[in-house]
Amino acid sequence: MQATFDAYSLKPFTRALACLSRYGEELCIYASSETLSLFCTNSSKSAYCRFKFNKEFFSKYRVGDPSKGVQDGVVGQLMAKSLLSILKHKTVESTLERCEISIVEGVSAEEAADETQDGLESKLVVRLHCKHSVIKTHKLLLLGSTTLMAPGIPDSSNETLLRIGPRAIRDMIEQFSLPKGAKSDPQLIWTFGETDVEVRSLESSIDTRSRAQLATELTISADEFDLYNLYEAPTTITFHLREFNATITFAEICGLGLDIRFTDSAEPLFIDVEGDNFETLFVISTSQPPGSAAQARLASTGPRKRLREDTPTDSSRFKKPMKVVQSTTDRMSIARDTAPASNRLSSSRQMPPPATPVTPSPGHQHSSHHTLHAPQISASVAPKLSQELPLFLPGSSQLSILDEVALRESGLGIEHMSAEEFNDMFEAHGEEVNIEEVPPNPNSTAQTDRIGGGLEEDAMFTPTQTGDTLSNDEPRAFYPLFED
Amino acid sequence: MRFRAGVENVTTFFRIMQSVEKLQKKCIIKFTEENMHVICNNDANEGGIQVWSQIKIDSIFNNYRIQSNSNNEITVNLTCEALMGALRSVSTSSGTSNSASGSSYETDEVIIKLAKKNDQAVLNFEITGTTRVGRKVRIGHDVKIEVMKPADVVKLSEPMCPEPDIHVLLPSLQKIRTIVERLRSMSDVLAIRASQSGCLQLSINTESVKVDTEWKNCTIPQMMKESASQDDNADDPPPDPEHLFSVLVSVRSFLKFLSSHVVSTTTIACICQNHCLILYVYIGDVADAGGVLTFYIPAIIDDE
Repeated sequence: MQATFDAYSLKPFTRALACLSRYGEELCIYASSETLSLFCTNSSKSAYCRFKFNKEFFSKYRVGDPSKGVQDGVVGQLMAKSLLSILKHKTVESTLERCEISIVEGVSAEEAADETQDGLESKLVVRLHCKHSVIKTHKLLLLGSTTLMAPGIPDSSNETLLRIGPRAIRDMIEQFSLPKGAKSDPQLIWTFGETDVEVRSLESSIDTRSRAQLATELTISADEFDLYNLYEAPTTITFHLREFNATITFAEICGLGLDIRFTDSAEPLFIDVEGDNFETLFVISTSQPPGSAAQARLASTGPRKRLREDTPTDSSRFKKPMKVVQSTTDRMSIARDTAPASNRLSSSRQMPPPATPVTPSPGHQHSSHHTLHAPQISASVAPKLSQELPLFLPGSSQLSILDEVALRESGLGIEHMSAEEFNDMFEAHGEEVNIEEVPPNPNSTAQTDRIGGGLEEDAMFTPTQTGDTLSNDEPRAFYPLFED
Repeated sequence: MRFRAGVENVTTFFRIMQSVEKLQKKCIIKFTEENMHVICNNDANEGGIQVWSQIKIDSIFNNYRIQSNSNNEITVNLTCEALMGALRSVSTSSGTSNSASGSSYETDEVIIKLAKKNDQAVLNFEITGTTRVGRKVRIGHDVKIEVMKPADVVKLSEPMCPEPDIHVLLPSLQKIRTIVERLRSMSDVLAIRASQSGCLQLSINTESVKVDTEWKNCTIPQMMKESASQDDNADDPPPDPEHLFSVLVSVRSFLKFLSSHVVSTTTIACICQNHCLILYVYIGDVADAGGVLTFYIPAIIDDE
């Protein structure tokens, strides 16, 4: 893949990277013949961010090599901050004439004598052509990933669509004095009524027990929104602000409006921002509205990244957490970027896997395509999956009838498990994994398979997963990444 | 007990809280019929600094209504940050015209009142404003407070100080702050000296470095000494105008006092040699006596 853009396009590109780095640490790149997508998911899998640049955004764009046989697309993963620091360097903006980004596929083992790794060792090469014939070349290691995360498509029948300018929404959020700092993760509760919108800080009821000192409430006319198609009034959603703020900042800097879509309070929030030759999608999970005191407690104290060891011990009384994205190795779905996954699961950021299965409510219409079996939880980087919320939960209220069927079909017998058994599965899972050393092969997915929380793995794979898978596209029970 | 008022001058209120916030996390506010007192007297404060202030309610509030069983006074304990959070969303950004800072809504009215929500006493702020486009917006803040018992209120008392040796009008606190910030990294102890001739000195003296900063021609306000008999004074030799009265204080606590630069118009420093430093920070015009924040910084006794 080779893409070239000039200094004018550098700005939105850099801003996109800045926004991505606020969402998550690892950035995935997917290059197809028509678009270049950059996306990432946050560590608790409760927020997803995707920037899709059309090929017109670039002055030159080429994917694949016709002589060798065109590849469908290129996938890789790297640290967002690395790329951001290259492009955001203070001299770049003033001196850049054009920037060339290319992905060089890894060479086979024989050719790279000094590399102990094999195969797909790809590099992202950023070549900055600056004034005075200065050319700066940066090479970043690109990790291949077997798992691509993609959000499910929202069901549009009961969807609410709102459009608002970034300034207006920034004004609203500014009224809330929220604690700043890496550990804090404030949430706001939004209630959309017929004519008014009410926003409250999460600890909106101060009582003698709560630690919050200040509770704030804002009521504003719905006319602030350029478009206000509320499906049902009133609707209340609650979500964390950290990623939302990153999105608003991006929209504000680029001067673009936000299209916010959501269905009901348990489903994630979708935000679209469309710009000049690029479009972006943000998916933010919603939390359950404040009910249990325990949840409030967790929300204020939970660490940002949840370690494996933490979760199994929490006996939860909460409704199950749901993920914003599911992993899918179906690259076509990534290419479409609207992976038609049936389980649109919204996750609560710091919630442990619940112990009690909740009875399903057959209210939701899901599109029929299931990716329940297909997706592999094997993410390419172990730490990413250290947060092991289960992909779904037996008998959850969010599963539709179809999902339940899929569940039964999977043969895991999950629906018959008790909460303990369910948790035990994870416990055992954890014990197995705890003392793993870092695998020699960064591309190995074996470790992460075990770490991952997917129930399907238990059923699908034999426990003997060796750590030395040599190549990512060894056929396993999951769909291969590269569909040759 | 009842308390309700309209907040006319949010900026001043906010700035007072800003001055005080750096000293202590929580502070005491006493509302009386005439005044609002902001008190920080925590023993654990840096260098033992305390703030006792008295602000005329007219300079901040309008439509002030207070009623309580203890002489129509209400004393509450609250977190400075929470109160500032409530006030911040109202205070129009002065100085910087950047719309990113300060409120983006035009404030029409702010009402503060004592309320109880879920068995918790709060100070409720109701703010009505208009957005950029002219639409109405309503914001409500609840600041958690603890109403102090009358027994505890009685215990609140200002520290005892002797008659100050000298009063001096300080130059702009901004400027002093710039200098003292530099000194902070070099020494823990700061010496403040003033003389009747209008000389003010700030100096540090450590093993490795000695720095002196001197301001000349400072105003020495003559305080009326009441009841000191004229005869006694006539007998004493006139005080040497060059004699410097000095006091040693902790640099950090002095810096904390200097954070009140946001609110001060005039500041008078009173040196009680070897005892303490008292600083009167006037809010608004001195003549109006809109309010004064009084900082007490105990002296560090130097045995040398």
